[in-house]
Amino acid sequence: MEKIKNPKIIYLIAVLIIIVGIIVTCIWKTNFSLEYSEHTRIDVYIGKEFNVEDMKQIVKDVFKNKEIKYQNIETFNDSIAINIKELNDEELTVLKDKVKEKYEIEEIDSNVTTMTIPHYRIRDIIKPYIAPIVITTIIILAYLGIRYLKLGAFKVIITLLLRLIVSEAVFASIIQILRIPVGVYAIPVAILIYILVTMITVTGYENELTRKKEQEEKK
Amino acid sequence: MKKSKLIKGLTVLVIIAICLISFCGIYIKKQGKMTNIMPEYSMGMNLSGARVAKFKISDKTEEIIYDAEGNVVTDGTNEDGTLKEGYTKENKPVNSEDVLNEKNYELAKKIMQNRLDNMGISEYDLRLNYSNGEVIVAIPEDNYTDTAISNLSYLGKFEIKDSKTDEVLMDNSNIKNAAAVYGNTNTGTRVYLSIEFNKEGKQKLEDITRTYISSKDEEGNDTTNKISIKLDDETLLETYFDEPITTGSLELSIGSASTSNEEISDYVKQANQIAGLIKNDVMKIKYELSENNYVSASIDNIDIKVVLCVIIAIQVIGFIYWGIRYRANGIFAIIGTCGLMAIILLVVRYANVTISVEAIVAIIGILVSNFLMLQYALRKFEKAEGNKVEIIKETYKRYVSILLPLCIIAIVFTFINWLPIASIGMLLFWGIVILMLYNYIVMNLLFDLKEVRK
Repeated sequence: MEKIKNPKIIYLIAVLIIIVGIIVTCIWKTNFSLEYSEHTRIDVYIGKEFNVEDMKQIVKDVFKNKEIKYQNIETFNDSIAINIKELNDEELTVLKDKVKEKYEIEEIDSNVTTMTIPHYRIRDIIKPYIAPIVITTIIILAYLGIRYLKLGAFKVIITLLLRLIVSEAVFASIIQILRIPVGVYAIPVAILIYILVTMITVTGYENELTRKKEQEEKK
Repeated sequence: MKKSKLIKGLTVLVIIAICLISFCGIYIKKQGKMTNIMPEYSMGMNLSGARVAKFKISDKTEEIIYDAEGNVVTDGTNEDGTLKEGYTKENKPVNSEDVLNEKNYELAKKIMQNRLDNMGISEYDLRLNYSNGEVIVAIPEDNYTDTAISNLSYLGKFEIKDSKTDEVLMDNSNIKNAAAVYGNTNTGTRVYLSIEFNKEGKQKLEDITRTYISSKDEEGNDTTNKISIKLDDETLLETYFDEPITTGSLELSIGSASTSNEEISDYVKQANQIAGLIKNDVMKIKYELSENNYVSASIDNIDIKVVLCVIIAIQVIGFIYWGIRYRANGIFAIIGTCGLMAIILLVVRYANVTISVEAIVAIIGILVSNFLMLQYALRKFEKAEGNKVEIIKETYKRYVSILLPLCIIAIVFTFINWLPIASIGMLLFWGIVILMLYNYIVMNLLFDLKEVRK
């Protein structure tokens, strides 16, 4: 792994992205994906086995291009949950009518029910990850300080810490700037960045240490 | 040379066999149809599904009976069901208007969260609707799900009362901690609910255990004063004490079992369930379960398919590079990598590692580590920098240092009681262990120095 030639430029770009990210965050709210934002779950009970594709077609006709997530309810294949961000009464009525017509359901109001799923707060999403990440970081930094003592323990620790903070901040800023919806993949990507940055940094230290040892042997 | 080729051939065959078993399975005829005998993957909530329960604020009313002096009484009716003379009754909502505010909704959410943690639920999704106080909970489906769901609607009001007078002797404010504990007896293992009281509670408990003891009057009639231990006004136990308790800790027997671990585990869960209810604050709002059903993960699962396709595509690019750049060694590295993933997927199933969406991180981490390690070794083999043993030794020396931070992440994450994190940890742990052992075999048996190949 070659040493980064112009770290100052990279850090400058990173700082700029972070600043823009902060500004965007102050102006607009975070964009959440369907499953993390407040949405409506429409439970449709058909009462007999049905073809999901038929139901999808009905839903598509009613809600056009809106983002939809389908889930099975229970295991009897006789009901389905339709998750949608925004739902109005007119759409619900049309959906009920179409379902009633297609599946010949009499008591449609009791067979098609809605439930508001509140939004998942960002602090609740992040909370379980804070302690493990902090503990892991402390142990890794202590290991690096000892392992790469010859390279300067303080420098080694600060560099990794800085890279981790900056990379995660850049990731968060990019999400905000590009208005990428925060969903189930946000945290895994953040952890992946954490792992990769650590690995890249440690590989760099390992190379530096090898070079230093070789220089010492030559002398 | 012939021997070396034979070993390589056999190694490749073994790897292919492992790949076939892992990726395709082993099918045998069972009850007239072909069944895969390999264990199923254990999937997390976001990949399989969850029990979703909705708790709404109770709009029920309760009947309160007052005596002639305006005191609340529990029994104010005659035998025929009519009210006693001078007594009045009133229907009051279980949740008065003044408790229905955001602060109490938030408190209810926090208490439910604590209860789920206390019950050892390792993955949940708890959301509060701040406008109407409704709480939506999603937890993994297992044998314990119903109990866990039913626990959430309790107020958690713990009281020790005088059985006769109904005087409250102790309540939640006197509890410091509560937990399930074990004790070995002649008949087997007994599970207790241990309630530890705070300073004030310790003194109160001592006083109670001195007062509520076995006693008889001069004529030999039983005059024992008993206490009732109540949870949400339901009596859990009515008892008295043999001797004063000065330790500030009360141990209530939940059950015992001689050999069955399952039975003991059930008792521990029961004890933890009550412990979780009483050691947290009392909910100010009475909730009731309004919806409760199993909801699968998204039917389409397009996202996960896209992510897996991207990972495979990147890996294939790496494979093409290896094949072109390192020829025979490169092809062996490709076969080796396929074998590595196959073994990891086998171990994951047999070790019952639960896979969540977050586990993708571990898979990528392992693939990147494997690629870097083999790439380093391949380069060394290509340049023939030293003999085979020296190259392998140098590769391992380097990658033990590089992978150690990953090991730290794996170990710490494994011990976290939050499934998405533990899933990363366990997969990473097994991945690194297998990577280190398996790549030694691959390098040793399959890789050759460039001049040897010529």
